Amino acid sequence: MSEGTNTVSENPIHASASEGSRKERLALWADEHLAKLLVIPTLVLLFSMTFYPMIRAIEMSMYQYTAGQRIGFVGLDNYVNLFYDSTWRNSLMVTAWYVFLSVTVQFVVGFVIAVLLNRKLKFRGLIQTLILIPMILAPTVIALVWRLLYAPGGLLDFIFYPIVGGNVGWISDSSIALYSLILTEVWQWTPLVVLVMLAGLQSVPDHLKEAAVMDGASRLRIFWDITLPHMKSLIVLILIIRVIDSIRVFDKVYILTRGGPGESTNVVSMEMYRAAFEFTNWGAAASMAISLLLIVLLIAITFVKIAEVKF
Amino acid sequence: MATKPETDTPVFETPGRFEKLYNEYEGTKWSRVAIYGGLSMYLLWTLFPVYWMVTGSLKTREGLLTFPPQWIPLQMEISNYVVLFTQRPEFWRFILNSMIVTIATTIIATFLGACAAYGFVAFDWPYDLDFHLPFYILSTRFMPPIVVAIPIYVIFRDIALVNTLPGLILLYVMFNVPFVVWMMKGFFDEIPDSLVESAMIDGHTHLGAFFKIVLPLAKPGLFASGIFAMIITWNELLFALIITHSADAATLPVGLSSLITQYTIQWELISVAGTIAMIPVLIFAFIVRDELVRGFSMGVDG
Amino acid sequence: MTRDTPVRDNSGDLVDRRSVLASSGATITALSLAGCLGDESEEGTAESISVAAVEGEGSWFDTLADEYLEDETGIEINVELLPFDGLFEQLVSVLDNRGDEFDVVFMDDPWFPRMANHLEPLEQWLPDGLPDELIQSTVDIATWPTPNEAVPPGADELEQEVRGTVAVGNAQLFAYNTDHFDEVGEDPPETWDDVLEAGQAIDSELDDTAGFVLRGERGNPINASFYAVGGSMAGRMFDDDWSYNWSSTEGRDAIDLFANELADISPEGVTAYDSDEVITAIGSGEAAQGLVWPGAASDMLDGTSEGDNIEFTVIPEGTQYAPTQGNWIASINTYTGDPQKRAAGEVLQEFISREAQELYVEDGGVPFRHDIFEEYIDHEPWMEALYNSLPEALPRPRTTEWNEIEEDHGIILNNVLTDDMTVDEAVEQAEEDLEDILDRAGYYA
Repeated sequence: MSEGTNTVSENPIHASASEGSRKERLALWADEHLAKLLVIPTLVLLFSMTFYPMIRAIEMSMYQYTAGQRIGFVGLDNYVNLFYDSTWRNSLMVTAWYVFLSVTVQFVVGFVIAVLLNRKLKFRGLIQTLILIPMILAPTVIALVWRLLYAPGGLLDFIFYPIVGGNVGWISDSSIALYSLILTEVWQWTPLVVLVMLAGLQSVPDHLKEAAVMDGASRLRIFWDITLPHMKSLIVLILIIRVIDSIRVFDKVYILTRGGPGESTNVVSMEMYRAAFEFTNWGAAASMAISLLLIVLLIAITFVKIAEVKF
Repeated sequence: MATKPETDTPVFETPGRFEKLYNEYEGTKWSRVAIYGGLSMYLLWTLFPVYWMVTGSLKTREGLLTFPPQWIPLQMEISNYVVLFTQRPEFWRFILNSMIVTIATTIIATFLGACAAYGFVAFDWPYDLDFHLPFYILSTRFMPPIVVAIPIYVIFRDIALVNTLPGLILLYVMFNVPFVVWMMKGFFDEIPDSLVESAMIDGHTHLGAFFKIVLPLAKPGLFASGIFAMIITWNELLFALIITHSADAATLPVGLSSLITQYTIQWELISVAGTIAMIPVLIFAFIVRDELVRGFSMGVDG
Repeated sequence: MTRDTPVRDNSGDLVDRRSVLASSGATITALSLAGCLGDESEEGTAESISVAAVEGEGSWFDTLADEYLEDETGIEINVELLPFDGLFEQLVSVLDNRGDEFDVVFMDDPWFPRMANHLEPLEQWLPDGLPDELIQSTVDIATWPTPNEAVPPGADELEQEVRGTVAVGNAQLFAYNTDHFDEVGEDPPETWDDVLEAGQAIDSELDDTAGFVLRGERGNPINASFYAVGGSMAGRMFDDDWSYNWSSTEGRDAIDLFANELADISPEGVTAYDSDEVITAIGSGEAAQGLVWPGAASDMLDGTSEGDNIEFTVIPEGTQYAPTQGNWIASINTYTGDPQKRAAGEVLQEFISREAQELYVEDGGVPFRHDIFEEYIDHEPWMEALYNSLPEALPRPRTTEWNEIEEDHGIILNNVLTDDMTVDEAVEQAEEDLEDILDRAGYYA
C-alpha cells in the first residue's frame, strides 16, 4: 500500500461486534482470516493444477517410455540425451532467432505506432479497436489465413510478382520460411505493444512535460529524459510478456510449416509436440519442457535484474 | 507491478496545457501527412488479412484459391454461412459452449485473481510469502502447457471432469489466474491505504471495504485483465482438444480445427467460422476500449 | 505511487505461521481427493455406445449409424468426429491411461501396432463372426501380430488375433489428367519410368501445367507420398530383422526419382505442399498427375474444373507392384465394460454386413467387401483402381515406433527436396536415425 502513515489496523467495529448477530460474527470471522480467505482459493487451484502436474512432469522426465508405457527409470539420461541432440539444439537456436527478431520488430513498430496514435485524432477509439482484431482471432484461423496468403501463386506472390518476377516461396523456401512466420507473429502481436505503449504514453503526467517545455527542452529531450524513464517498467513488462509468449509459439508453425522446410522453422514447441503427442515419448518431452521452463525463468529473472524493475 | 515513476505527483486525466503547446508546435502540414500516412499503412497492413478472411467467407473454394486473386468476392456466397450450420449443426453448440466457458472463466478468474492479489498486497505474510507466492504464481505462466497436459488429463478423469464444461472452466481459470494476480497486484499497490482505512472507520468491514471501495477503484484493471482472460479462453485449442471429445463440451476452436479434414481444408467454411468467432470479442473490446487502454496503463481512475 | 515505503498491516491481521502451515496441509489433503468410478454391471447389452472416429472419412460411419445401424440394432450410437491429429492425441490420452470414454475407436492402420494392446480381440464379440467376403489384406492388417510381416520384439510370441475390423478400405491410388496426357501423346502410366517421361513431356510442352505433384511438406505428408514410390521400386522399408532396407541402390534410385526428378517437374513450392494443395493442383489441372487416397479423390472431384478428365489407376510399378494400405480400423476398447463390448460387437457386426455396406457406399463410403466392390465397381471413378489395389496392398511397417520413424524419414526426404541433402547423405542419415529409434525401443536386443 502506498501511504506510509496509514495502516490497516484493528477497527473499533471489530471490538464492539463481538456480541452481534450471527451475520456480524461471520463478517468478523471473515475479516480476521481475510488474508487467507482471499489467497487460498487461488493457491489451491494453482497448486493442484500446476504444481502437482509439474512434479509429475519432472518425474516423467526421469523415465524412459516406449509406446506411451513407462519401461524404466533412467535418472537424468533424458536431459543428457537432450544436451547432445543436435535437433534440439537447432530448435533452440531457431526459437531464439524467432523470438529475438519478432519481439524486436513488434516493439519498434508498436512503439512508433503508439507515438503516432498518442494525440488527438479523429476515430482514435475506432482505430484502437480495429487494430485489436489480430489479437482476438483464433490462432488456427490466423495461421490458415496466412497459409492462403503465402500459398504459391497466392495473394502475396501476386503482389510481389512485379518486384521478384516469380514466386517467393514464402513457406516453401527454407531460407525464407522462418521470416514468413515472424511476419505473421509480428502481424498478430504488434497491436498489443501498441496498446500497452499507448497506455504508458498517456500515463506520463502532463505537468512534467509542461515543466520541461517551459525549460526549453526539445521534444526529443522530453521523450528521452521524461517519457522513456517513466515507461521503463511497462516496457520491461511488455517485453517479458512477448518473449515468454513467443517462445511457446506453436499453432502458426504447426499449420504453416510443421517445422520445415528442412529444419528451418523447427521451433522448440514443435519438437516438444512431436515427442509428446506423435511419439508419445513422455520422458523426452517432459525433459524438454522442464529445460525450457528453466530457460524461460532464467530469461525472466535476467530481464527483471537488468532493468532493475520491481514486480 | 509498478508502472509509475518514483514520484508522488498525481496523474492529470484531463488534457493539460501541455497538449495544446505540443499541438501548436507540431501542427505543421508535413508532420500531419507523416502521421496519417503511417497510421493508414499500419491499418491497411493489420486489416487486410482480416478483410481477406471475411471476404473469403463469401467466396467459393475455387474463388479463394484462384490466380490472379479475387479482390472483391464475385458471387457473394452467403450460402457458405448456411452450409456451415446445416452441414455442421453442432456449430451452434460449439458457439454456446465457447460463450459459457469464456464468460464463466473470465468472471471467476478475474475475481479469484483480484482477491488473491489484494491478499498479498494488503497483508503481511510470514517467510516473505507475500513476495515469493506471487512470483510462484506468475512462474506457472511460464510453464510449457504441452507436458502437463497428460497429468492434468489423468486428474480430470479421476474426478470425472473430462468432457464437461465445468472441467474446462476450472482449467481455464487456472490458466488465467496468474496473469490476473500479476496485473491486479500492480493496481492495488497504487490504491492508498487511507481509503480502506477511512472506509473501515465509517463502519465497513475490511471485506466490505474491499468490495465497495477497492474493487470499484480498480475497475480499469479488472477490465484489462478480464479481456485478456477472455481472449485467451475464447481461442484456447490445445487443452480443449484433449479434455473435450464431443459437442457436449467442445468449444469453437475445436470445431474450427475440425474443418481441417484429413485430405482437405474447407477454406470457405473456415473463413465463415473464423468471421463468426471474431465478432463477439470484437464487440466486447469496442465497448470497453477506453477502460482497456487505461487498464493497460495501470492508472487509477479518480 | 511508490511501493518503496510499503507499510503493511502489522497488527491484528498478520497471518501467523501456524495457520499458513495448516492451510498448506489442507491444500495437500484437497489434492489427494480423487473420485472413484463405481463398478458397472457386467451383464446384458448396453443401450448406447460411444465411438471416436476421424473427421472426414469417419463421417460416413456417422451417417450410416443414424440412417441404418441404430434402427437395426436398437443401440444408440454416439459418434464423436475428431480431426486426424486430435484423434490420435485423444486415443493416446484415453487408451494409455486405460480410459473408457470410448467403446469403439477408429484408427489409421499405422497406429494399430501402437494401440494393439489396448484393443479387444474382436471375434468373440461378433455374434456371427467375420464375414467371408472381407478382403483378406484388410483382415490381416487388423490382426495382431500381423501375419507375414516383421513384428516388434515380444509380439511374435502372441497368438494371432483379429483386434478390429476395417472401416474404410483404403489403398493409395494414382491420378492423372487424360487431357494433358493426350495433348503430349502419352499413354496412361504403368511404371514410374512412364510417369517421369510423361511428366517431363507435359511439364515442358504445356504452359502453366506441372508434370507431377507431390506432398512435400516435411514429416508425415512427404513420407506418406513417397512410401508408394519406395515400396514399388525398392521393396519393404525394413527387412525381417528391422534393418533399414531402402539404403540399397534401388532405395537410392527411388529417393532420387521422387525428391529430385519428380520434384523438378512439380509446381514451385511443393516443399510446403500437403494433401489440400495436391488435390487442388490436380483438380484444377495445374498438375498432371500425382498420388491420392480414395477419400481425397472424392473431395478432388467435387466442384473442380478438371473432374471429368481425371482418371485413376493403380500405383505404377518399379521393380514390383506394391500399393500401400491406408485403412481405417474400428476396434473395441478393451477397458470398457462387457455390456458396452457386447453392444459394440452387435453394431460392428451390422456395420460390415452387405446391407449396411450398400448404403455405406451409396453415401460415399469406401468399401472393403468383395461383393460390394463387384456390385459397385462403376459407382465411383476410382472404384476399379481401388479394387485392383486393395487385395495386393501392403501395410506400412508394423512397428510401435512408426510415428517417429515416419516423421524422421519425412524430415530427411524434405531435406533432399530442398537440396539441403544429397540422396547418399539422406540414406546414411535415415539408416542411422531409424535404427537408433528402433534400438532405443529394444528392437535389436
